[in-house]
Amino acid sequence: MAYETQTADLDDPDRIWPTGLTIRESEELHKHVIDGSRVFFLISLIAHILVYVLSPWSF
Amino acid sequence: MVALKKRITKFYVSLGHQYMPFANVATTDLSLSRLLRLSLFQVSVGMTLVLLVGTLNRVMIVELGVPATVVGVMVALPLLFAPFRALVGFKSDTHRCELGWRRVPFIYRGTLLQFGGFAIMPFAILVLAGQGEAQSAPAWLGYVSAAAAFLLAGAGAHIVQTAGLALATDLAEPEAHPQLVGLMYSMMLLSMIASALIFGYALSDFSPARLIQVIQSAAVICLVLNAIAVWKQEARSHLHRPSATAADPSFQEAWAHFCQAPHTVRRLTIICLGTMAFSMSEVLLEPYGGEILNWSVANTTKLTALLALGGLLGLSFASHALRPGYDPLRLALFGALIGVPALALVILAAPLQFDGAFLIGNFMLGFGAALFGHATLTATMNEAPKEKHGLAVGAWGAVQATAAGLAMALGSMIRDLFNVIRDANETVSTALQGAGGYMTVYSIEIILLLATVALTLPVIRRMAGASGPDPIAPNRLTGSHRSFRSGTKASVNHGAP
Repeated sequence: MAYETQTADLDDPDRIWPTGLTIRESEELHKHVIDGSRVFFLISLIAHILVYVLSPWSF
Repeated sequence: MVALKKRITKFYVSLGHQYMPFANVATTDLSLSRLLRLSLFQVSVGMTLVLLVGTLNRVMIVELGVPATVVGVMVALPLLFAPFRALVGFKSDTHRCELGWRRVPFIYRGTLLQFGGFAIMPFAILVLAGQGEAQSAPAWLGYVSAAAAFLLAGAGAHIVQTAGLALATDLAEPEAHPQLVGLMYSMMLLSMIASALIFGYALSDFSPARLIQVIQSAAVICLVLNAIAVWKQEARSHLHRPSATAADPSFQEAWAHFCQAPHTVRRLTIICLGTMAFSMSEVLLEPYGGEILNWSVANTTKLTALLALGGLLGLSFASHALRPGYDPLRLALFGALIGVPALALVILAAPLQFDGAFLIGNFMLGFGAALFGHATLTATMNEAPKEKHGLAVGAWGAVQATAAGLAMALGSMIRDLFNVIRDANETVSTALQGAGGYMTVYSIEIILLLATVALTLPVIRRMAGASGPDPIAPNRLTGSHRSFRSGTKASVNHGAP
């Protein structure tokens, strides 16, 4: 079933080189990457604040 | 002679399939290696549970001197998210995206939360404990950051487990559900045992730097395991894209439809009561062994091993017993019935000072709890409307996790309350003074198990009565086929709303 679905997808003329994704698909994937980056940024920011409270560094 | 050779060959070839654990869950479309890879999400969930409830609980109290009440609140925080598992399951059922996935986006988000929680957790714990320069920092910073870390990691584990189990249910054929549940449960149990040993060893030479290394390693391992688990597992479907024409129901509509299935509310009540009965004494068994039976710490660790052994044997037994046509609720009833003598043995061990009774009781508790958990999850999976596995698995998880957490908290509270009353009242019998609190909890557990049995029996009778001469005859109430008693017919059960 998975194979059939994905084979049929490849016939879509909107797919572009080199990713093989449509514009909408690539935009959605990009949204996930951006969201993930934001979460990582927020996590690292909080972690750095806590580390600074624990053991302050000087510039 | 040729016929005999063929028979002998057939016999030893079949041995692997019969006796290799969970080999019969695999089909031509879903290989065992693929299933084992998928079950890695359970390994990450098991690791998270051990770290949150076991290892860090101890480290914060013993090594870092954080007040036990604060630690109790932090450990209980992930419980706040448990009731939302039904909503997460529903959202993953109805999720639409251009990539055509339903479960993967949720596992991705859950993993991010798990990773994020663990990434900040060691620093938050150290600030909470006032280590280093954190003594001069405002106290709220430690509380807020530690609470956020525990909530993030716990919520992430809940989301990953709900979406992961729903994905596993989507992939496996209905008749393989019992073996699938056994495999998923076993992987989590094995992960918990291994994680407890590894974390214990890694933190034996405790230092703040070691704590940071261990927890952040766990964060990376969770990320890697979940990524390997979902890689190429979910098919991309046109039906799950925004352009799909079928309208999705609201959560209220989907929940109302889910509850319309025969005995759904009663089954959820059975899961709640049974889980509470098996979980209430979970954190009290080791102190009971140490305090009342005067066991050493090394001896009380045998209890954990026995519980785990009983659990693994129970899961293996349940996977074999739940053949197509066998009602999972019968097995759940059997599990609850095993729990009653098990708790009686645990209670009797104190007045008789008979260690053997306590050990056998622990083993039977692990066995009974595994049967009960396995059977109720299998029943839920079999009853789930097609394409709506997420809601059903989420509802099971929400009830199970909430009941287990509440029961553990209640168990400790009841024991402590009894001790306070005992201290205030000099007339209480001195013979069982120390054991009184524990015995009260174990007695409540027996009552809960009997209530579970009382609720389960009528459902089994009604289902047996309704089965009639043709086990696949359409159900008059729902117009669907009765899958409850037959795994093979589960795929045609309850059309999607």
